[in-house]
Amino acid sequence: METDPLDAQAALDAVSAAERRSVALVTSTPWYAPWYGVTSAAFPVAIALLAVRSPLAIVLLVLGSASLVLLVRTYRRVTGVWPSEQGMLVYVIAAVVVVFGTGIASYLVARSYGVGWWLLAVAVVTAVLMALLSRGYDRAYARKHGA
Amino acid sequence: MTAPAFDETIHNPVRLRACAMLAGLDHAAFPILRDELGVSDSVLSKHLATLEAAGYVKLAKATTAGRLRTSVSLTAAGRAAYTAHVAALRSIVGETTPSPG
Repeated sequence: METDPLDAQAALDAVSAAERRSVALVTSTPWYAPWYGVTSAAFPVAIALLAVRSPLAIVLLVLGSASLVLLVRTYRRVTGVWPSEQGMLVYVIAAVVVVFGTGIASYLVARSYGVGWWLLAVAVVTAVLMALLSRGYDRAYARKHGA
Repeated sequence: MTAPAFDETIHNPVRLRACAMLAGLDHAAFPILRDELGVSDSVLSKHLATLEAAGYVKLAKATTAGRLRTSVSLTAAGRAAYTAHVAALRSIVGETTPSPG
């Protein structure tokens, strides 16, 4: 090993700078969280509408899925990167729990009492929770990668 | 904690910065990597070819909207080698903090 400490320190500084740039690219999209939140809200609402056999359920499922695909494609096109999920599994699990948790609860309520304005509250709560989760993901990602 | 292992293939400044950028990513588009590293297409291609030959990166080509797009990702071996290399650098400067990645 011929590298002296000054060279090694310079290399480490370059590493830190590159990692910070990488984190900046991943978290440089303020529109991602609200889009993700609103899109995610479509799913529990659709699941609740399935309980009353509303054709709107299928429309919402299709629109939600299309919006999710468009979100990912747009993010990839704009940033040119996709973050590593390594160590971030808890956020993926939390997202699934929120969407399916609110979805199943809404389904059960809709089956017993029908749908109403309460479904709007479900949509808003889900959208806010998912947007907050997305922001939390960004912060955790930045911490994990030293930014 | 990863055992330090100095890696001449990674230590080149362009390749080291490329690996540092890729370490936290699943993949990055070739133009983004080129712009962030401030090198030309040909220079980046040459360095990526070296890393690819060592089994450290994987290049994936896909045609989107009629354009060929290349994305770059670190392989598991590349990630391990990068982490060990950063640990080696830290041990040279006397740091004892865990290496990133």
